[in-house]
Amino acid sequence: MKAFFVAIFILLFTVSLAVSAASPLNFVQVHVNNVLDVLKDPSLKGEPMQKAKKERIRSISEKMFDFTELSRRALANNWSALNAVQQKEFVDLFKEVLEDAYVDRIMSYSNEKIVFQKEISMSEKTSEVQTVILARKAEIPINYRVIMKDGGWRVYDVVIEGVSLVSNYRSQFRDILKTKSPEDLIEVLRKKVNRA
Amino acid sequence: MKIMARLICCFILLVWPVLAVASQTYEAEQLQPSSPEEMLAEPLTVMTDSASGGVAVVQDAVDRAPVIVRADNNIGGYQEQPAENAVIVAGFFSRPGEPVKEGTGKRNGDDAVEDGEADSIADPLYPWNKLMYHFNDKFYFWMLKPLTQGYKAVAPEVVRIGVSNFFQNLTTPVRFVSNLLQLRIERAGREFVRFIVNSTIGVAGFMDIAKTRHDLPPQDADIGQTLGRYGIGHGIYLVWPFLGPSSLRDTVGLAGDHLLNPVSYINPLETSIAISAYDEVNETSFYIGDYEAIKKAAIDPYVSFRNAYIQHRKKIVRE
Repeated sequence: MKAFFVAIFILLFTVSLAVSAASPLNFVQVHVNNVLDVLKDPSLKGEPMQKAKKERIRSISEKMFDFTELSRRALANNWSALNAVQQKEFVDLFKEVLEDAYVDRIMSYSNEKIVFQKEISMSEKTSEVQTVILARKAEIPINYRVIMKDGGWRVYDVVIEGVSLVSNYRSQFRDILKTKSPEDLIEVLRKKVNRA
Repeated sequence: MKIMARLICCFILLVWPVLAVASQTYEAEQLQPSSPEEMLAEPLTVMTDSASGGVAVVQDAVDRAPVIVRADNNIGGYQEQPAENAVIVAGFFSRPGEPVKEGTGKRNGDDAVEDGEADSIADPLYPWNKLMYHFNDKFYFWMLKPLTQGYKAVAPEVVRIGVSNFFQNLTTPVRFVSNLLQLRIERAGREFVRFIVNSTIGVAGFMDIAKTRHDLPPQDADIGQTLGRYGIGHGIYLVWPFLGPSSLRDTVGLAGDHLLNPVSYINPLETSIAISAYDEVNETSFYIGDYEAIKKAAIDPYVSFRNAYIQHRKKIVRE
């Protein structure tokens, strides 16, 4: 009898744990809406506020993305070819490259409707949140792949029109590392960030 | 006479659902995974990638020995080989959508779960392709973009969308025939209905009434996709001047699309080319900024575009 109650208690405990963690779709939705709020914020309009706007978007993206996971998957087998110091620098540089590129793109957003369609569980720890942006001429499917880390969800890949960000960068890094050393790759990233 | 009419009606009523069901079953069969990556909810470590496909190491759920699954694009399937000292990374064979259990990897002790597949393509014509890439890049920045920006300034969005709808309506044969060849009868039927509705109520196709009022969006398909669904691989990467990235298979597809496009049959040739060019400028007017953004985000733009093209076509073929 006692074992039965213990079992029920454990069951309820785990169920409530699962329920209390935000669902992947909610997680993505909250952060995307935060970005949209920043974009639509009237107090941040105008040329002088651009920098502040970008900073706000950057800070949201730091809470939304797991750049270490992104870097690990983008380098794939080559991740272990970097030592710990190089790995850290790589993550920081890669983060800057991505943020530079996509903050500019996000800034040109102009009130397209974003529909959060559904979430698909890919494995115990990973899910895919499917969204669609209804742009003027076309519907652009954007899927966010999230992983559960340290009790919360983080985005580790964005798939736009079937093109995975991680996969795309992986092909570029692989191509570079065919002829260059990991240190050279980091130098390439440094140059790109300084030039951008 | 009445009995004949009734017999014919009954016959049609019986045949159409059978055709519809048959085409759907075929569609479902087409969705059967044909690559190891599709079979797994989350693909695993790709140990090597080669021009002919990728290799994944998986561990079967039912306590089978680890196997190496090699995707062979040339034969459109995969081969299994037992792996003695395989690195067991994660997961087991499961249908897409089923949860995959993650295990611990031997590689550095962390689960190096690979998210992507070996989206690679043979690129033996690399020097030529890179030259064409640079040509297209200059063409975009020096000619296409300024022209399109000028056009965008004078043509309001409504007009540009109308023109886009008009050209999309004109290319119905491409989508219709492609869907038919893929035995997706329902999609072909929807394209046919779209054409009728948009050409009549939609004033020669300028208004996409079928999409806005009847929830019938375009059923995109092309000959390259058709070839892909029949298991034909890309072959090699090709970059054409003006047309952009393609592959051996998709170039054959482009030729097929060209034959099905009514605009191609306009005489003289200059007029046909001019009309296609106008269509191109009009379409680009919606996407200015996208090319620049992708290029800026890339470390190596040529490789980035090549990989993006392959991934995108893969998605189109899977749809």
